[in-house]
Amino acid sequence: MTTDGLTLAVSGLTLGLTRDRRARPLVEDLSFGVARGEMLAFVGESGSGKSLTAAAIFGLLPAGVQRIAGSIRVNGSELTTLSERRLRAWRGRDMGLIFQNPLTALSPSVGVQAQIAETYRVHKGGTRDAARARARALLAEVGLKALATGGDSYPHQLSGGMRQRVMIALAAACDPALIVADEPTTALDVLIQAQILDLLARLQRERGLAVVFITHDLRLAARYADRILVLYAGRAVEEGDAAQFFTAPRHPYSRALRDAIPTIPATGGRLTEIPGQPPEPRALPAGCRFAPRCPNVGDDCRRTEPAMTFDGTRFACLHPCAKMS
Amino acid sequence: MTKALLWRLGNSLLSLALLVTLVFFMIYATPGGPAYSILGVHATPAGVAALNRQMGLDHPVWRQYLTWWDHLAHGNLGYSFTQHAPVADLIGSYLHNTLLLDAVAAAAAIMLAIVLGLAQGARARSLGRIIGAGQIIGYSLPTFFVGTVLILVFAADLAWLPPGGLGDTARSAGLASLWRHLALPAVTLALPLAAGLSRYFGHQVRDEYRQDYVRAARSRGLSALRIAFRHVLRNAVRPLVTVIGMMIPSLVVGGVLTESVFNYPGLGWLLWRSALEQDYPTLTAIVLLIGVLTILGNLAADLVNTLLDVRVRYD
Repeated sequence: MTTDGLTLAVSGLTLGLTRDRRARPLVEDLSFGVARGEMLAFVGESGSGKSLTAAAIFGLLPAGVQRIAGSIRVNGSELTTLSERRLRAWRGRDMGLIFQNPLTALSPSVGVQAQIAETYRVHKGGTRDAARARARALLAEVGLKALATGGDSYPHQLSGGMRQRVMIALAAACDPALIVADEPTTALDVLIQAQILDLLARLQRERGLAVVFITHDLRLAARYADRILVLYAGRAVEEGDAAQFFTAPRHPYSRALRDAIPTIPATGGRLTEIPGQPPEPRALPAGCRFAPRCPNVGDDCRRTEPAMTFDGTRFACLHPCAKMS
Repeated sequence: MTKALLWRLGNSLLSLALLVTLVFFMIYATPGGPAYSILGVHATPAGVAALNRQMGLDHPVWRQYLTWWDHLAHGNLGYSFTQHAPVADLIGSYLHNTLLLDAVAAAAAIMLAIVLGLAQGARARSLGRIIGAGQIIGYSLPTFFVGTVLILVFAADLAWLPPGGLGDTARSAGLASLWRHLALPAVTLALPLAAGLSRYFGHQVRDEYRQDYVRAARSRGLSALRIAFRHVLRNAVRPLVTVIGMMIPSLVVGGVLTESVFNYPGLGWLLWRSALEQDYPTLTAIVLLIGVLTILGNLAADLVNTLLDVRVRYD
């Protein structure tokens, strides 16, 4: 994959447990890129490695998990070789992270204007007043005009939607090139969900941000993202253009995910589900990881792990679904 | 918020009234009565009866109780027969020394606890274990042992610091001498306090470090020091304020031992001496004073806590 001109380029990323080196990796050989002004959605079940990948980009892997191999480049600069101290300058300045639960992710005893101003001042310097003015402007930009004037407010005084807007303003405080949004709407109700994602999409468009949107909701991914990458048990199984992906997924897992979306009007009867459960990292099957649950499975699937191939989308499957389904 | 504060204030006043009543019945129940201890070996039944009449001890309980309140309200704490001075004057000349020692020890303990607690909470695995071992040792060593060892090492062997007292020299020789006299007793008094406080605070800090907002702050490129002091400290310090209020009794109890070991002219030393000499009026007044300080300390902690907690303040 060429990495020229990409805001974020990840290649061969492999993450595993520090203690148990014999265990199979939690994320294996993951490669993807996001260009300026583009939104890439990561879709997958819990435990598929979405959030770990986000943490790896920021160099904030939880204790016990380490990067085993792979490169992470932001604006062409390799981040994995940087010291913690050097990497700290990149966090917040060139890339912002949006968390799932904005109540716990905002510092509870510091005002929101002060939090934004702090992040700005740490990276860009300048006077307190200038940073505070910048914070107010950002709050207005994310649709919180009421918080942009007068005294500061604390996170507990705000609604869930307002908090997530503050979180977005925080992530965007230093005008970064990349924003990673880790399940940004899971803690919010449906109406607020749309508002938050509309805001994120607007910033992406207006500022030419590269956005990684992590979600388990394929519908939201299809609606907001330019491209979709599906993860299953730590491996990318399919990646492609969002619209095309939604109409004609090639990997049986992607298709099962799409078919599991409930439709209105309901056709009655049971909701579609994917039989079985994702494998534990300690007990991955040989060959294709999805084979035990796959409707298209063949004998070869249990022997060889399929490589990424390109045919309409990039996918890793020996028996893909038909191009038009 | 006003309602919460008034409730606290009412609570404290009630505790104060209970304390005064309790102390009254403590003396009333003293075996033998004060007259015997004042007269000592010279006690005769006639002399005791005369003294009881003179002190109003022949009145019924309720009247003595009211007189007790009346005297307290007028600042009359009684007269010390062993030291031949009004108790209020006695306490007045020792109180400020104790307040000075307690303030220095408490400040040292709090600062040490915050630094150790932050380090322990932030680095729970490596450094935290070493600090944890130090806390247990610091908490378990008895005051008289620590005090004696400090005197032996720093006063007797190295001769860096005076072995005790505060002396008149201290005041005339200026601040440097005052600090030199304060150093050893303050360290002795602060050590177990710092150990207990930092252990408690370290747990608070560790809980805070598990919160999402710490990870979020790191994802914005804030430095570890900034996260510790600007974000974690604010949230972890609130429960600490309550504990600091509750540590006043241990300051006083530790103070009795420390002041005795170092011959430091404070309330603890006076308490110890009054107990040995069976000087009931002084003893009673000091117990009362310790109770009042404890109640005031808790009240102050509650007030500070209310002011610190933005959620209570704004709701």
